[in-house]
Amino acid sequence: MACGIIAVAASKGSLPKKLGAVIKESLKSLEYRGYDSVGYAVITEEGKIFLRKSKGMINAVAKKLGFELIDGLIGIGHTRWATHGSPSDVNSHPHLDCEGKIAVAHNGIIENWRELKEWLIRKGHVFRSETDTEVIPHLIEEFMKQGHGPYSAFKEAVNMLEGAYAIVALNTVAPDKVFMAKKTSPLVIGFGNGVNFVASDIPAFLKYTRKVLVLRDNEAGYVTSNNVVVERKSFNEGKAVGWTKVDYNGRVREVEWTPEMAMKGGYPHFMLKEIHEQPQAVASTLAGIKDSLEEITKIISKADRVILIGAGTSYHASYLGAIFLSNIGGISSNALISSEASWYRNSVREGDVIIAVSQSGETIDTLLAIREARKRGAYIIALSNVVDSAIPRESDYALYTRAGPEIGVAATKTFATQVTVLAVLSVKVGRLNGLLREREETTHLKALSNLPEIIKNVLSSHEGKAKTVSKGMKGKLSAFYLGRGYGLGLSMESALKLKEIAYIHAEAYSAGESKHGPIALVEEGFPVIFTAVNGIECDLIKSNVEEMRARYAWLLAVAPKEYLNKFGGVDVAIPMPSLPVTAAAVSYIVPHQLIAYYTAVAKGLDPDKPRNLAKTVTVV
Amino acid sequence: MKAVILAGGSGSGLRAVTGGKPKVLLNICGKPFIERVITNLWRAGIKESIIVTDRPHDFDDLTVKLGKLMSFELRKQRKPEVVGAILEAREELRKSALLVYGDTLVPSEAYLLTLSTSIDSGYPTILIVPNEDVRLYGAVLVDGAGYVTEFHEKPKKMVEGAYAYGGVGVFNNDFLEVLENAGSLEEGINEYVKEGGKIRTTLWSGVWVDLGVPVNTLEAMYYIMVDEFKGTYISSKAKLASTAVIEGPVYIDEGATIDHYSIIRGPAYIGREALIGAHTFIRPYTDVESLVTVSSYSELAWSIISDRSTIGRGSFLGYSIVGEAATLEPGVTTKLLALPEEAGIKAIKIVMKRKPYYKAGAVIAAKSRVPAFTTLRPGSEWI
Repeated sequence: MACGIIAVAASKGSLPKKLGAVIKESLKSLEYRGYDSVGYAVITEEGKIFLRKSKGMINAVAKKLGFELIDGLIGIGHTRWATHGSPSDVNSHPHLDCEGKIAVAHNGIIENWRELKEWLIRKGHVFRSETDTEVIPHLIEEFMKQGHGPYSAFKEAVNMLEGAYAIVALNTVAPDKVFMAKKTSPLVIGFGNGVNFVASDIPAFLKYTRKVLVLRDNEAGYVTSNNVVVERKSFNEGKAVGWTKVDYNGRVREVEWTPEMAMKGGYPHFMLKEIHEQPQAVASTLAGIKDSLEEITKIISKADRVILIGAGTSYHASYLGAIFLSNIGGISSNALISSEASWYRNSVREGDVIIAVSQSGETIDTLLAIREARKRGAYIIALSNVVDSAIPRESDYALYTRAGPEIGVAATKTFATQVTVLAVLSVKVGRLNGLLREREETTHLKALSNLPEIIKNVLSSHEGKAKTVSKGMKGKLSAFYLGRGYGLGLSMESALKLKEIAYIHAEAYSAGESKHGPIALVEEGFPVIFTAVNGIECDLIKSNVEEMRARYAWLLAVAPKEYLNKFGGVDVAIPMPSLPVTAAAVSYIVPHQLIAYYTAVAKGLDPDKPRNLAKTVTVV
Repeated sequence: MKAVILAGGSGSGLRAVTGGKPKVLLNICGKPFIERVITNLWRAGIKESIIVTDRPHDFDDLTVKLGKLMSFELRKQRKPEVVGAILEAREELRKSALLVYGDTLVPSEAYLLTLSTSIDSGYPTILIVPNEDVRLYGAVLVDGAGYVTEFHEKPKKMVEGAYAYGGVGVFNNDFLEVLENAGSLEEGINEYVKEGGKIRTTLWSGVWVDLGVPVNTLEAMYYIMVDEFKGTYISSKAKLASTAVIEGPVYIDEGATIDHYSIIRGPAYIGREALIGAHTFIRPYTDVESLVTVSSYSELAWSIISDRSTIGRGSFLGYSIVGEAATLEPGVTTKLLALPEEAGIKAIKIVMKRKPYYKAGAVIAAKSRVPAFTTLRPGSEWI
């Protein structure tokens, strides 16, 4: 998962402000890559390493770290997104060697760190943290002890590493150099005037220079304030045999774009990027929850009842989760909107399990609700995307979605990953309770593990259609999203997406309830979007489709392809793959996300910055 | 940063209208189509460009006019097809110049996006666009990480799960070497990918207009008017009769004459020294280019009338394109209601009272003459 790193090598007078302030600014522009802990190291005028690090977002801990006070000519910084282990001061980067003369910041995963660590401990090195990164400064130290110079020791250390890495390192023996190495994780160099930069991504230094060099895999080298040296590791039959100098002049490019564009990874908007990241996000999430499953399944299956709480999109995931747990897991369960949960508090007691769903883990209404429930003896499980945020910290058990940072205000990949986790849990609980047969369990889990591929196919086969639908949708003032069961949960989330980014009034309603009122609003051309995940739901809403057709509504249907014909023709049919309900509930949201996104774009709106909305709601 | 602009080809579907001139020089709302492409490139920071075309001299005026924006080099295309044009500029493309199809209009952000993606990823990069029907544009199949798996330059049928090729890209040395030995862009890309080469895609969700078939020019005009016409502009050198009615965003250029009792309902463009006769009705999305005469009692809707043409008295044209210096004698009318499924013609879909109608007018060749009181069938060509 992503971290952000920055290194600066400056000559006197080349920076407009103090080095600490420059590092802070750069880290701030890398925050989109991760933001749960931050740290930096500089070489002081006395030739010593000055190191400060802390968990927390940059602005929150800036004072504590004293960025603005620190000056110097050479330094490195790091912003982290914890995926393994909690964010803590000691686990934050940069890391030091035994004597505090070498500082390293790293993005990636060193796969052979345990072996390296054991070897180094045998050699007498003392480790302070539990991270894989800390082996790197100690390795450099070890090779220096063996008589290597600082650059040679750095390269020897890099030769030992397996896995993915982007590394920047300081060494007090060579106080004018930043050493760097890259494999798989990104690293770019920025050529400034009397100052050079190394960073995870271009926005980090775009304020100072537009001349960049993107490093390739297995390249390493160092930068000083006026010189950049790059070498490539050469291999013979898979074994590293030496380093050859790289002539990079032809690869240096001048970039024209804004920092924001560079962060979007080749997409016009964060939201579209995040929609397309869903296959990856779901895959990481599935892999990430494996270890917790057994324990948490036991806890839930023993519960008297389960209450899921969430706000906004997280509530919609909770709503689907409640149906999963009741229907598949056989556990009495309900979903509550966080801000409404307090009305039910008197019924909460020991034996209840609360699942608190929050992307940020900081949603204030949800936090207040779990505090109340905990006092009454309920067992609290957090489901969050941010490791060690407030809600997981105050819960008895924390489950994590591994969607990575979500910048777009409209939640997309976090919804898909939340629903995935709740689906897997329900299947496991159902099996443990004997409600599901082994064969059924296998069918569900197999479909869920295929989700990355399924979502990828849904994306590529429906994106063109979503764009076409958006041309019709953009002129509408109002829309209905109707469904039953899982289809209703998906409708609620879809209506929210259209509302929040395309500013079209959208209402989700139980299809069965639609004739008890809402249908009065329907007239010719009024958009009505039906969602159904299986044949049963399609049969149930068939008559509702008829009613709407009779009123000349503009009919859209998202349903399994073999059941679409049950509706007797709709204006826009979006045929989906036939899947077990668990996998369908995750993947059927994708066309709705695309329709909302393209409608916003067609209306000339910025889907990443809907008016009046904030990503994380921390006020009541 | 340099750009290589491919501007060859008269456009198979547009040959009649262009009269053999490059289709990118077709005037829309007072400017050749490619001028907007070049302006957007300039907005993206492009300072130098190479225009590859089979008719370099046709571009002389344009390059002089736009010389303030960037420097141009006109290069004659010697070998056919897109691959021939690309190889004319292989040196520049090797050095990561931006490749741009001159017949594709996108905002400058799309160019920046392609450039940034190629620099970030370090791989050749092409722009892709979601489209329900990729048959007209070239189909790109993409894997989960956004890399090309398959490319069809001129797909004959629907390719499931494909994106349209956006006509913008950045290449590199390795890819161009493969392309040199390939017969077409399709072969080049597929061969390169098969050998393990990676081509990154970048997905564009905004406006994208490709000048392929005649109906595309009408769509292009629509986007240009929506984008550029924010209010009404009437040149101080235009003559406007006191009883003429101007509604909505209308752009009336220098020296145009609008006669009595005519109604111009915008968005519409009336070109330099054009004449709109008495009692004419110009409906939305109509583009009357310079020196055109629209005689009295005529009606025009969603059409492009190219420079120096004459529309005879009492004519009706809708969803049509008239080439340069064509003459329509009095009383020429177009029938619009098409059945595209039967005829296989490209039409504009309009929904009224829940019923879809497919509207297509006629394509009238440059310099042709349509006899009085001719009725033109939907989707027909008059050459």
